[in-house]
Amino acid sequence: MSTRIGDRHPGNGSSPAPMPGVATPGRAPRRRTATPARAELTAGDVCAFMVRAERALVRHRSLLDRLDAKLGDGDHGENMSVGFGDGVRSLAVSDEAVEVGDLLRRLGHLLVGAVGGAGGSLYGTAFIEAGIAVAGRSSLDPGGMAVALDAAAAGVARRGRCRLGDKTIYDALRPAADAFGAAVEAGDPPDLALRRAVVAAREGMRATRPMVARRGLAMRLGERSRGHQDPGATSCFLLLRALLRPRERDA
Amino acid sequence: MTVPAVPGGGAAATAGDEDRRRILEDAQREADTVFAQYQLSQLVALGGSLRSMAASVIGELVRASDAVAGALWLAAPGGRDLALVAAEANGAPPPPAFPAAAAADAWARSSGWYGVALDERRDLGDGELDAEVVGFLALRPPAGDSLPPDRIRLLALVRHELAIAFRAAQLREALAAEQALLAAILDGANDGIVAVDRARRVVRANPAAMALLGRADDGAGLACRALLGCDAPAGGAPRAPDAAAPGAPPAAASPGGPAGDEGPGQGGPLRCGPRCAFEAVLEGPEHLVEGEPLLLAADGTEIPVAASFSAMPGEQPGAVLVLRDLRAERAAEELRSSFLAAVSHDLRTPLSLISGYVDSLLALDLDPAAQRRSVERIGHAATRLQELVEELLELTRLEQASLELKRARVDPGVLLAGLVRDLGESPGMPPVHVAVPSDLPAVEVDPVRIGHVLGNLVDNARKYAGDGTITVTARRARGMVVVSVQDEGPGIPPEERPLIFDRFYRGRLAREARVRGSGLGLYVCRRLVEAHGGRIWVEPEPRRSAVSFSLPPARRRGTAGAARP
Repeated sequence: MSTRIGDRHPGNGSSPAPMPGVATPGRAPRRRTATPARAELTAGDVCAFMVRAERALVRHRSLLDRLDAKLGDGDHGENMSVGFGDGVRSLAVSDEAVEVGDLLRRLGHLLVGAVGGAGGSLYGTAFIEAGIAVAGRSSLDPGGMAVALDAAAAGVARRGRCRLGDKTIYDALRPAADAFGAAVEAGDPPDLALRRAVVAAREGMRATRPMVARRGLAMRLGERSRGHQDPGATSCFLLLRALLRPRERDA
Repeated sequence: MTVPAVPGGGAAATAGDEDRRRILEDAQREADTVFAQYQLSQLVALGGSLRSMAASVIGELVRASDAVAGALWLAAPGGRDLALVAAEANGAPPPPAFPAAAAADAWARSSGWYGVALDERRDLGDGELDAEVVGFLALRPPAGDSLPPDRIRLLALVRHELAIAFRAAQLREALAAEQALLAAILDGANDGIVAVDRARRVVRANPAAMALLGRADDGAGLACRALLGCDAPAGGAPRAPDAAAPGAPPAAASPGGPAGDEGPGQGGPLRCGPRCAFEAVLEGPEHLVEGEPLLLAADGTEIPVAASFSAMPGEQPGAVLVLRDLRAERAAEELRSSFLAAVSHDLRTPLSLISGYVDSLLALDLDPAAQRRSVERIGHAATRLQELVEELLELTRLEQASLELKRARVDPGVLLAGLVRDLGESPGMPPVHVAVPSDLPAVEVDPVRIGHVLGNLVDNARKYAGDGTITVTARRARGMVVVSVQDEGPGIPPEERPLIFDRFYRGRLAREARVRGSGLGLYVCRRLVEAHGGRIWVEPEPRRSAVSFSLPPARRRGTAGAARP
């Protein structure tokens, strides 16, 4: 297939229309204008998510760089926007028909190499672990999404050897995965559960500000790392918020 | 971790599941190791202080290895003793030092730690490897546990990189300390120091050099000629070939000979030999002393300097010039010789008087009146000698700053009247009038020392002023008590006024009129007045001669004793 999804959405903000959900064979076309509560997440949704994620990262690139300059080497925004740009460009229309888990794993392996710095390993691991956790399913019901998010958080914790309070990606990702799981268990519709997850990620991100870094380059700053919001937790919040479709974002 | 579903199922699939699980686990561990290695590389790549780097590396390794404690000991470059630089200890603290890596290893084995020596390997060139122990790193696994094999592998992977990184950090800090020391030495040196690179561009010039050359900038990056303005040709100039053949007569040299013999150089201040001395030391001898070249100061005056040039060997060769300002040295030399001349003259004059009168007394049959006159003259000469010796002793005490003032609180009028009375009226000498108002504040002075000052000034007035009246007055001015000694003599020429209080300075009149004196009297006066916290000066009246000195008024009673130690 020659048409690539990234070609249609270069991610530079020139195309204001969000990518519509792409119909997959045998499934009713999903329309952006009259969205019912979505029950299943497909590979097509993952493609759309990647496009939104890259846009969000490009838009917040300098913010992430600025935050990283205080704690690390100042290139997190660049690394993330470049890496996710590569991810988007790798997507083909045929990807919308593959199994969700396969697509997540493929993106994960790509991100490991495409995103510079520790972010590549950690986000790549998150995607790979999520993909492995839901392998074999063509689409994810809310329970499946909860399993994927939980596996992503567990993967980040393992690879990065981080815990809550270390001032890392995990401080945004773990609360989001937990909030999503709890909401699904309580019977909330998936859109609401996702909003709860995004709210938890935002709180987790903000909570990194007073923390003393215990992982990564910021660790060397010790007490001086206090008072700066973690760039990893910030990019993680941006990615989770990109899971919401645009009109659902007012979380 | 969720095991991926495998299509097919059955017993064979279960065995396949097991294989896949193992492969996946291995891959995960490998990825963990690679990521941990990456994290460590990131930490050491940023450099920074040795301590913060050591602390973050130990923190990272403890976390990456699920250890409960970790510690790092480092040896100084070239040393074997290991000293603790970073520790994350939960429980008994690790030992602060080991005499050698072997001792550290023995300790680790016996106390449940896992340790590795960090050795820096160097290729000796012929395939031989040399290893130097930079440090020792140890991790303590949880009680009853041992470090997992993949963590041991991680340590094996990173130990050489860590050794290099820590050694580099040690050298960086040693270099920074050395640079700070060098900067302190350069900035604090009294001699001007100018360092140039191979192209004779100024790499560094210290503040003394810039002050000597009259520049406000730091001179860095200038061509040496632009800074020193020397007129020796630069490298590549026509005279360079001659420079390469020492001993050969400089064919293109100016007929006047070495540039130093010419008038003030066209090119600027430093005038030394015909060939650039920097160039000479960069090529030939390692050290060269230029015999007293002259430096042209910003105001056009010539400053005698001693210039010594040294080569700086090494990867980036250069040369260093040390400029010593010889003005003070010269002045001291002149002072010494003028002192010797003055003192020997002053000693010889009364001595020859004494021996002359003694000779006449012995050889001639003088009448008693003539004898008496001779003896009186001998007495005067002896007194003069005594005064001179006293002056010299006083000078020595002043120079050694061991002057102790015996202060007493007195009224200036009473003090001055008493001192003038003590000076005595000699027949043939002009009288001294004292005019002091009675409402002056008290002063706290050493009366003997102030008597010495006053005696000196009155004596000077008598020597130079002839028969005119001498008046001692006192007044209050700007919070000080000012004492003036006036005479009706010719006065002191304005150009000499700032000089007469210098050591050994003798005015033109004094020299021409052959008035006796060592040039010490007014200098001693100045030092004594200054010791009291006052000043001494010549009053700026053109036709009259008046010298004044000021004394601070006494403090209130009770605190006066602590006024001056």
